[in-house]
Amino acid sequence: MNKIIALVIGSILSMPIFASDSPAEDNIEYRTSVMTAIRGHNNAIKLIVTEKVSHTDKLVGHIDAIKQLFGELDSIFPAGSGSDSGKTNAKNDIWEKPEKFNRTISEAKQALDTFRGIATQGDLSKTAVAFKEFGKTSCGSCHKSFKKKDD
Amino acid sequence: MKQPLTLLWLLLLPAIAGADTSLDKGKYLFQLANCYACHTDTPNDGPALAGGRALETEFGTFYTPNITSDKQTGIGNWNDQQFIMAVREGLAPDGSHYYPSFPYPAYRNISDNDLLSIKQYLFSLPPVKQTNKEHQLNWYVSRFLIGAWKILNDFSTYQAPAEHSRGAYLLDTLGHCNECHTPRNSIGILQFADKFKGNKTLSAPDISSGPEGIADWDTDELEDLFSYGALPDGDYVSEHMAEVVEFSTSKWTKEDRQAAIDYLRDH
Repeated sequence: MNKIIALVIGSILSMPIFASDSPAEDNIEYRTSVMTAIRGHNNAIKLIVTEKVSHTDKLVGHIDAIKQLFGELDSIFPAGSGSDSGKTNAKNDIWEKPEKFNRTISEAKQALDTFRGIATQGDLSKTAVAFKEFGKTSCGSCHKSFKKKDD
Repeated sequence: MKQPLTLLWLLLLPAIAGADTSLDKGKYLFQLANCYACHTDTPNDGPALAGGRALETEFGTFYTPNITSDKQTGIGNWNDQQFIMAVREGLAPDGSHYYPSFPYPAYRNISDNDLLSIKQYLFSLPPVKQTNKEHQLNWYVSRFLIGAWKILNDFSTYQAPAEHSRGAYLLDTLGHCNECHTPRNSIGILQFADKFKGNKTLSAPDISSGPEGIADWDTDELEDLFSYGALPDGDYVSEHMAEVVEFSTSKWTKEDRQAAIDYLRDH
């Protein structure tokens, strides 16, 4: 009898409903976490360059953190991790127009390098202006073409 | 010989300068009305203002028309009155009704002068030959019903008092913000009792001054949104709103952006 009960419990536990997320959903969750981290560093930069906080010594550190996370952009959009696989704001154009997407990513990285170059000169007012340009040509540009609006 | 040429130049100067000024005005109004975003198929790198942009709605997919000055496929044969009737009344030169995916209910308060400045600017741009695409609409959506829809819409809209501030002209009329940010009823009529409170079908957020809207945004945050698409949490707007920022609000003068912010604060 105990064997039968154990078999039934084992069968129930092995049913898909108790299984962990699919690899595609895990990919989406990881990607969302990376994007959330970028957003956090970006907001920290905004607070510094608008002089709402005084952590200017941390400015380049936040930029470098974004640079490291931008390095993952080439790998966190694997095929099969679009809206057919789970809840994501990534548009299908990412996979349907890979050349345009890769070009946008490349321009975003270039914009970050330009912004870093200005930020390391230590002029906060110039950095604030450059931050807006960075926002437009990196995150903003990519979101315009490749991110769906939040529900 | 030099003197007559100089004289001729001086005589022509006011006309040339006037033309430039009028074109500049037309370009600015064109940006305020954000014509570019809808009439250019930017997702597919289509030619400027040649239409073909898919607008997906609950009523089906609309394809925007070519508004370049091409005489065969665009609006190059339209006279001033036809242009005014199209933009303000939603009537084509042949008398047929345009679907209200073209926001003529919002544009009805654009002055003649401003409309003709926009036309002059549009006609100064290069024509593009590109045939318009047929809309793909739900079975119950038909052009001949639009006349009745307009009557119902006018009746509904006239219940709301028109405002005449610069902010109202920017956001309600030229910027046609209500088209996305105010909810609609089942036949697509804007529900102005909930002005700016968002449209879930379009994933357009509440931008009213209430707690679900922009009550917590400071003026710098609204200026950042309008000037480069930044959101208060470090994120950026996407899709259509990103285009609104790129092709329209980022081009506005600081005074106009401030007028828009003041108007949002009051609603």
